[in-house]
Amino acid sequence: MTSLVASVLYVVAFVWLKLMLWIAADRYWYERRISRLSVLKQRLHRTSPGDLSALRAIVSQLTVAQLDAVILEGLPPAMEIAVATAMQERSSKLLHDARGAGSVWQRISAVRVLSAARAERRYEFLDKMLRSGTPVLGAASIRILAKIDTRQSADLLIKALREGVYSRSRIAAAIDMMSVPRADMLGTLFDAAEADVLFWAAKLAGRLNAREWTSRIRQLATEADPRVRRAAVEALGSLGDATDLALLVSRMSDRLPFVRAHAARACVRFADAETIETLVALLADRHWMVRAAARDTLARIGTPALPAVKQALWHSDRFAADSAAEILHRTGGAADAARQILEDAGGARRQSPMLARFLAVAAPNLRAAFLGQLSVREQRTLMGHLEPASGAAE
Amino acid sequence: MSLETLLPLIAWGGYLACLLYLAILTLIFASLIGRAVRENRERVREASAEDFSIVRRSPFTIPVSVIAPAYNEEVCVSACVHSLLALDYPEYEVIVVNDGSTDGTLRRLIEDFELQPDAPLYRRVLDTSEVHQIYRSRLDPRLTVIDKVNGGKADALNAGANFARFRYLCCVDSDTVYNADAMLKGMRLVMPDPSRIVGVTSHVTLHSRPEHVVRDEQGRMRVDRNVLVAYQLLDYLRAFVWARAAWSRSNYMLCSVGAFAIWRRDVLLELGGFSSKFTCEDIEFTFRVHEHFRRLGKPYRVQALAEPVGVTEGPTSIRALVSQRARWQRVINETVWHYRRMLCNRRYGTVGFLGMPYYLFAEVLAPVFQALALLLIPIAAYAGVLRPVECLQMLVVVALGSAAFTCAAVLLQDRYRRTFAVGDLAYLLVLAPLDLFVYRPFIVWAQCKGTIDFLLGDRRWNKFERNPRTVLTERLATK
Repeated sequence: MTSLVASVLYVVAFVWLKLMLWIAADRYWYERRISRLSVLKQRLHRTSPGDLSALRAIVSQLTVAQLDAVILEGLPPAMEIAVATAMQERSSKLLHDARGAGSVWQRISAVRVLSAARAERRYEFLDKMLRSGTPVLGAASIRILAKIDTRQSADLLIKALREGVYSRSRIAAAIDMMSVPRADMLGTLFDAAEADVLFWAAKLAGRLNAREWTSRIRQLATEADPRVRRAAVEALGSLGDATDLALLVSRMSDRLPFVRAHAARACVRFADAETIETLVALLADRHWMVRAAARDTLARIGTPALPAVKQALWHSDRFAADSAAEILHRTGGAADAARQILEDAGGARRQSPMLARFLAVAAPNLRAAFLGQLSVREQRTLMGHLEPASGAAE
Repeated sequence: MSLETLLPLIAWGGYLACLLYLAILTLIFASLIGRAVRENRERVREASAEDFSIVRRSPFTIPVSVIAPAYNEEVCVSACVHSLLALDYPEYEVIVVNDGSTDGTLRRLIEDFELQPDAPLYRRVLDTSEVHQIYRSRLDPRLTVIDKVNGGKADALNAGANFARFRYLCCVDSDTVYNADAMLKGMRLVMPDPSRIVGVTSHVTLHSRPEHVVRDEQGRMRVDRNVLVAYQLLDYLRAFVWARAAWSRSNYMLCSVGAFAIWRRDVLLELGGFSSKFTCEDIEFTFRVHEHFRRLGKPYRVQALAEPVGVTEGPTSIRALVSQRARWQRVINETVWHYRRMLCNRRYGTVGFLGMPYYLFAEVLAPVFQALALLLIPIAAYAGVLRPVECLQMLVVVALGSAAFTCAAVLLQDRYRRTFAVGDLAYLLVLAPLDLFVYRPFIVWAQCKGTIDFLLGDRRWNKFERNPRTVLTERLATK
């Protein structure tokens, strides 16, 4: 028994010691690698991009993965091209790895170096990575294509978005972040029949301020798929003009609440009196999301919306009346009315049916928030000057 | 049968049962480490392929509502909220729920963030205790504070969910200070497949005062030199770096930690929100999510990040540590007992055949075998079965075996993240073999206490007293 326990003890002690040594050795090699890489980077920064022989000498000491790490950390563009080209000359293995013969990580490093070197076949490799179905290859490809930032790379991304070869929101984010002119290339997306693609077409057109697609977006505002209608009205909010108001107002009676909500938000830039009336009506919508959108939009419209909002304090729907009170609170309309009364408090007794109604219909928290802006004395003065809430509309 | 013949039999039987338990546990741990190595390596490489600069600026990045329940967190709530408002993420809101604190938590928030009363429209989808007032910050419009009647952490999270505007909810603790990239890292797992990934969790590291963590010139957090905190840190590493990473790989991540758990809001609402019927809400809700999706046969994933996203406060007194760990043991027992129907049930796949047996074997039964082993020592000594040399050898075997698993966790953490400065790494490695003698007895005691509390039907939270912050230590930390 003793010998068995002793044997187990030796085995466990050996495993423990080995792990300890592993940790120490791993950290030692890591620190050494980092300091060596740091020295090479300093040498790179001191070298001119035109000094090819010096560059080749430095690059000969780097592996593809190490050069990839240096590129990822960032080099001046001219130096990046020069270094990657020097590596490309040195290593025939790059093309081999870029075709996917090695591991996924070798492939990513190889393609990144080839892309930095502006190799002819870079787009072909990147497209294959994007369509490989391996998430990590797709993510790396999107990152490299966005960094290349050319029309050709934008075209690959737009086609990939259309075909849905990777998470569409990620591809759209990459397209959105590029700086090369690409709005005219969105036609590939607008021609698609798939609702998901049309959704992203409208979203991107709105973001890229692609006015050339406004008429197509107007058509999409009446598409069968509600997500497309939603994206279209959202895009019209940034691309459209006053002539789109009728279309937006018609979407405010869409059967789906999120389309109504986005239509309400979209007309903030060019709302006229009629639109404001429609927005006020939406304060009593059957869905909370639409009421919130109408309330936020009216608050953003501000002063032009206040007369209609004040009328809404007498709305039969208590949520609509409360929302109207909240808009008046947020835009300062209620505070202005209170200030007028307080400033005039020494003079003739002044009535404000609007303010009285505001205090009557506001939810307790809103009422507390409004009164919290005033001192106790001001609150008393104000309340003393207000008629009961039944007053007629101003 | 006489006592002289019975006692050696009991001692040998118990001895063999404990050895068998230890051997099986060792095999389970070793297999988990094998899976965790692959999971850690892939996660780190995936992160290197991802372009965070696009994600952090894009308007198409999925927005998140952060919910931070706070109950008597006056000391660190402000640091927590500051860290949340500094998250490097394009669109999110922070909802702090003051759950009827009896200390100055609300006052501290009002002063530090210039809160003013507000009355936003919200849906009371989940039933919660009464909300007194809602505040918005003048300094940062993304911050909302809800002041409500005390109803427990689950109730506070549900109140926050009622106010949340976005599709994903990130439930956090208000005694934790978060890293700026926490949300980016968490949501990175969601972005490739939001329809399938319903939950993401991560883990946090420990410090006695998270609001005053010291970092070295490379940005690495210095390990707290308090021995108790350092041992807890090692415990966390073992739990998160290999255990949960391995569970996540096989999709039976059964514990999304309360300190950082991202959930899809529609899933939370569909399941009726967090439950107040259990001592802690986090483990139970994770079990419920697995149970729901597996029962319906819907594809889903709950994933775990193997890297820390923040620093939380670890107890520095034994009493506080025992109280906290006893609660954890109690909630594990409650949850495993409640969901016992999933155990070895084909319908629940890896959850039924790997996750549940693991919890039962390694968590629920652990105190039973630990107590048995301790009980056997005097019996075996009296019966003459146990010889001092063998006893000592066995203790060293268990100590070094445990240290080997700790080293494996440290190795994984250091190899893939280089979280520790060299001095801290050495400090942790020196502490590891002493775990069995310095730290483990308190954990065994806490687990036994938690099991007894569970059997007695105790449901109290037993929040541990916050570590003392003296004026002197505050000054030193500031320096």
